[in-house]
Amino acid sequence: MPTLRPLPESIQQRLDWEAQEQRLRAHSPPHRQTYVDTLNHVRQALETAFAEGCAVTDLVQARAATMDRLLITAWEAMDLHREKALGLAAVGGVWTGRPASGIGCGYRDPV
Amino acid sequence: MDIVILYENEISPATEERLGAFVTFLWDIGLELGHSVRSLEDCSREAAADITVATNLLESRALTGPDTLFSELESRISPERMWNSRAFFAAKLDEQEARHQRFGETAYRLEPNLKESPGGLRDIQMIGWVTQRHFGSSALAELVAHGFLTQAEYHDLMDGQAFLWRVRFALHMLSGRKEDRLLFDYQRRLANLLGFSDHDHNLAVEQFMQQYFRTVMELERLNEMLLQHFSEAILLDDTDDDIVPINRRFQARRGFLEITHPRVFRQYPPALLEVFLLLQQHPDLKGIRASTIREIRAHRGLIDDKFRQDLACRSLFMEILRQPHGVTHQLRRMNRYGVLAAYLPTFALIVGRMQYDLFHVFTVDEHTLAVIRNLRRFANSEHDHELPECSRIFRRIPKPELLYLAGLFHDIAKGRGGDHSELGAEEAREFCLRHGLALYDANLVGWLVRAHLLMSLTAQRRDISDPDVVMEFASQVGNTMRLNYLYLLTVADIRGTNPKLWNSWKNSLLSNLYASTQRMLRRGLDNPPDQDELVGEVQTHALELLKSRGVDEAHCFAIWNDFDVDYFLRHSADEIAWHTRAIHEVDEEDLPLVQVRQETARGSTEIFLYTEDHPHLFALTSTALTQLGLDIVDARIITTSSGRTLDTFLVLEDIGQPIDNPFRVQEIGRLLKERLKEPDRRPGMVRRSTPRQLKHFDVPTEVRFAPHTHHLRTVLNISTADRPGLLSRIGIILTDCQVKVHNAKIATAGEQADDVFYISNLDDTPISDPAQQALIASRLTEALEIGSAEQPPKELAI
Repeated sequence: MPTLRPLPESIQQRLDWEAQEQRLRAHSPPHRQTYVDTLNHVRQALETAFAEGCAVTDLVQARAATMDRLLITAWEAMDLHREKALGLAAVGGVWTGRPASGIGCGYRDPV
Repeated sequence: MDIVILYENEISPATEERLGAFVTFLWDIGLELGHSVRSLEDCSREAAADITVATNLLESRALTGPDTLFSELESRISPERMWNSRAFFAAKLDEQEARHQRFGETAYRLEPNLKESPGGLRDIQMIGWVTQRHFGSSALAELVAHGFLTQAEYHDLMDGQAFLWRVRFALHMLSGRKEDRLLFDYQRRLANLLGFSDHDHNLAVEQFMQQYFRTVMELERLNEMLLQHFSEAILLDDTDDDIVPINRRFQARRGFLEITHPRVFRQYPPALLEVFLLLQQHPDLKGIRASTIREIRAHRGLIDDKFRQDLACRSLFMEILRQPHGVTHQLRRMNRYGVLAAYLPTFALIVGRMQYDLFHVFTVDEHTLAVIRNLRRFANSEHDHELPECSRIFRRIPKPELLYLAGLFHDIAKGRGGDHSELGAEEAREFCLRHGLALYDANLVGWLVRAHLLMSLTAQRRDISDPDVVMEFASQVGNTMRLNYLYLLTVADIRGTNPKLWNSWKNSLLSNLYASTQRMLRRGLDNPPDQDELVGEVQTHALELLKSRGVDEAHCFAIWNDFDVDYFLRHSADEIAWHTRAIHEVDEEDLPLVQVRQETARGSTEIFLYTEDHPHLFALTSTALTQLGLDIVDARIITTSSGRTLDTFLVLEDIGQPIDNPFRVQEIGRLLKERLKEPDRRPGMVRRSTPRQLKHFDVPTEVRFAPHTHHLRTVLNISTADRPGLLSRIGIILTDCQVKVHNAKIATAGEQADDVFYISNLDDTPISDPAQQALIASRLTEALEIGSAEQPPKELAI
């Protein structure tokens, strides 16, 4: 299995990711509102850290690392990890015609 | 962020269904996600065919799944199987060039894209991709180990990246979505969020954007140097060194200029300028080697007061300006490497400096270099077709370098407070004297800097058909040589401010002012032509034209007897002949007469109206023309002694060009005629929404009155926020205030409109009563207030 990028120490406490992940993993199939709440929590934690002057490299890394974990949790909650020859990777968006780098991830308000 | 779901050979329908549910779920929780489901074979086929796909896969990040699957993907897209590092680098270089061209355009100058604009995050990614392809690692720190970057350059790169990331993070916070464009909507708020605050002469947003522009400029330079290094290491690694000596300090290697040893700049500091002169003198050289660029940057500190006082350095700088080729290129290069700012410390203050408006598209340093480029174009015969008159005049200029110096200094004092023309003039003069120029030349450069706005303001704000205005301008200029220099500097300056600003109308305004001033100077300032002489000349010329078209003299004078002197002073012979013939041919019952000429010597489409005079006419006509989507740039309204009006409106399409469609001409004629048949009808308000960018500027409305020296008129200056339908709105207010408009000059600079009206009471007396002026000013200010743009003005009872 690929190695996950670490969560920066400077922001670990504010993110409290372990508790978030526990909540996410409590449901299978995944529970929509729990994920929405987690995304909001991450967004708020990062914005507060930004306002407090946290290094932007840590913010960027924290955002990518939390997104990685959230995707994996959802993947596993749908039992996709049991498929032997199936993998998930983050890439640019050429096939969708929307090029993007791997350093940012936008949210939209959930319907 | 996008994801790829990768599978080895095939997936079952059940898995496919679960994958669909997975992606739907991600969208459902609010993630903006692009996705694809591809087999290993799909990936390798697509990547081999398309460099963008290959790059995306190259930088893909495995999240979960079997390691064997990802290592197989890595192997399939490895440089041994496709896109070896040479092919990859060449393709990425082309890709970057195309992207820079696209995002270097005007629109992106005001609202740059953090990611795609030159010097943006994509440039750093580009370095990362090439590093990964060539060295197998995407860590940019590797470049230090391989000697491509120094430790200091690496830190500059990381600092630049961190700044852009920080801005991008804040931008996403403000916009609540993935937004990479630094739109006006966010620039002010971003500046505050990032801790900038307004200072005396520098807005927070200007300081923030200056830091942005300086950061991307530094990143562009690092990108250029690294790509040059890569090019030497990847594309040219198997070519012979092919060293050609140039002098003791410099040599050419593989067509690129380099220093002969690392101590060159330390031992002989003037070589920091000589390097640019050599590039001009050897046009076969393709550029400077990356290692030498690094040495130039590392030795910028040698450019101190002692360096600036060194006669050799001063001579070299002037030599660069006097070269027949490469002046602009080398000044740009000097700016990029920080040499220009080091040699001219006050230039450092304008590097990356932006002005928060829609008018100045470029930062002040870029604008300065664009002005010099425009001046150089006059010198270069391959550009003769652009502005032939300017090219001809340029050839009569005895010392072009004086023009370049004036260009270099004309805006150097911007942002310091005070009058930048005055401050810059003094600095320019001192610089010239220090560089061995004669006192006369130094004074000329100083005068050009001081007066660099004079011709533009006179042509665009004043009635240049008035001989007194021309006389006043000619007196300020003094002689033909100064006129020639000033004319060229003015054209180059306007064209270098905003590519959309220059059009055939402005060209004709400046050209006409140049011609009439030149005539005035030739006659001598103490021998100005009198009115009768001017009227006689224009009538004689018009009669010749009319006779050739079958209109005899008696008929002409019968028509002209109804016109006053002002008419003949404000129209050319060609226009008078056109009007006279039309009036001669029209039957009384066919009035109002509406004539349209698509393109004229005034660089615009000309609309001529001849009808019974009526107070609503200006408002009616301007409203109709606005409804047709036309920009009015000039209006002349003449009332005849028999109570008719001769109105000329000069208009442009909203793209700044005269009308080129005959059907459009017919449409204008039809609509105007229809409206003029009902002159008592109060014109309706044109309602159009204000464009997004205009909404972010707070331009206060200022209304000023001034007496006009002649003609019993009053000059009304209105500065306000530009918006669709502005002139029509002003016209309606003036009509409601029972004000008659005789002449209007419309100038728009970005978000600001500066319109000048020559007005009177309905009985042709000037508006000199302060109470009446205050009332008109208050009505105009109220109607033009921000926020009232989409509201109709109140009916007035005066």
